[in-house]
Amino acid sequence: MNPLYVSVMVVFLLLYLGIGIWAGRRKVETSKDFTIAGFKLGPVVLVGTYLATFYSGASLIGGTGMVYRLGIAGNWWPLFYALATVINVFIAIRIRGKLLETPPEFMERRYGSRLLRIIASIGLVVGTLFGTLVQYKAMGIAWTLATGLSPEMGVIIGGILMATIITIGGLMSVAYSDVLKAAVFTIAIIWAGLWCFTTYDISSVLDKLSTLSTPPEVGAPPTPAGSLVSLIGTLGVYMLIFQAINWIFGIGIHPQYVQRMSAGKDMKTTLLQYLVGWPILCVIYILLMIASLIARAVIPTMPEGYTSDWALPYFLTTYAPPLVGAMFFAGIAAAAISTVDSQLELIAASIFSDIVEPLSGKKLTDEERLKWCRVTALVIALVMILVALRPSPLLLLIQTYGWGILAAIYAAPLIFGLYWKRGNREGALAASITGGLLAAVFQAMQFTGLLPPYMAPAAPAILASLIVYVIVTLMFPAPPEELTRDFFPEK
Amino acid sequence: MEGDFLIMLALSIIILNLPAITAAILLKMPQLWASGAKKVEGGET
Repeated sequence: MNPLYVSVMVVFLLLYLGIGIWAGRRKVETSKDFTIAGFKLGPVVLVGTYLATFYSGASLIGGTGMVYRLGIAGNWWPLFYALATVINVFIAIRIRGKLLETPPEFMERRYGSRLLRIIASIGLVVGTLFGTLVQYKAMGIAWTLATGLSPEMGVIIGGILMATIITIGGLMSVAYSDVLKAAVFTIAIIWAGLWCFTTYDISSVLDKLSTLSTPPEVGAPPTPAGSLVSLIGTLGVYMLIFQAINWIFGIGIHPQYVQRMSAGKDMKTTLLQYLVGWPILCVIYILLMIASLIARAVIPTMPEGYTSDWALPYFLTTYAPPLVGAMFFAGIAAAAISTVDSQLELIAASIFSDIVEPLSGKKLTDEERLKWCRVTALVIALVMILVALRPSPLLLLIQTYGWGILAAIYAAPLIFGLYWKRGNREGALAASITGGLLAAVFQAMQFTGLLPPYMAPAAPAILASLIVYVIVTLMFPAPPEELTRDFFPEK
Repeated sequence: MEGDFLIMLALSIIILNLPAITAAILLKMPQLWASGAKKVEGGET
């Protein structure tokens, strides 16, 4: 147990708890403050919470592990995220100001279909809830590496802190504490990146990578010489195309980002999150790529017992000054927590507002709504701690594939619904159901080896749902004026 | 070898700033979104 690592981790967790409780008690007065931060986040908090949605255990562990394994070709993914965000921006300028409490609410407001809203909410829950399992795992491992205690202890401590935060303040607490998490992560990466730059010569690193052919992990196949410094590497063009479609649409329509668009206090603030956020993300992603390439040159094969996903944390804790390593672990914890608490809050808000409340048929006072939102958030957060401690194989499978189903359900109704006035309920329902089912079928086919490994299964499902939307929409009458008026006002 | 790295670096700098560039254009030209957005009670366009 390294006292410095433990101290930095404990200080971070206490600050997280303090800010979350403060925001929840001071800023949450209505149920909408809880579910969507009252549509009133200012620029600093919105940029902080936006950055935190991009910082995840996956970006620090999975993303850097990909560059370690594949070389510079592993850096295509952040570029897909950026292209996806251009779709986000065009969704934002149409959806901001419509006061959507949850992303699935759009489906009922635009298409007049409660069924579609419920399908969208179920897709959101399936697509994101079990996806948090990998973040719990990252949190547990970061905790273990930093403190020497068991990963289960990290999951329980982090899980209880998150349950406290989201129960007290919902999105308001998540957003305010995200400013801390974003700051910790940004400082950790920039610090680590600067240390890498000042310690290693990039030209020598590239020279070494160009001839390196050892496997990235013990037992993995050898790396083809030269692939680590190739733009395409071992990926192949088809895989890149399918991955691009998968991620550009997947993030482009992801409810987490739609929620952030709505939470800003006005359109200018909403646009500022992209204007300020992406230059910062640009620096972060480039530094992560370079640090991961250096890690591969310094440690050509990970030691026995470590997967390549842990290359950068292992490299920094072994070679960098202790404070850099300590900040990096706090950064991993911050990134994992920022993803989990944000998604749990989104899921809780959606389960209550999009499924339980409409189906109950009861008209609740705002005080009752706030109480039930909190109860839903607490139950989900506590259940997820238990699930994360003992994840079943089925849930791990859903975690891997649920995200693609979510993208296939949302893409067509959201994009066409905002930009094509003629788009109707029938088209949206057909596209959502077709997209969701096809994504599941394609994913099962790939799992059993019936689809080639380069084909990201959600990509053809998304394309099919876009086509189905157009065809079915044209087979049925245009939607009534009262449904489209809000989204396509007379100029 | 170094060429591919430099291409990836250049692509990263350009593409990773596209969202910011798009947002900057929209902020400079509010007519592109303000005319299509309807004022809703309690919210701003």
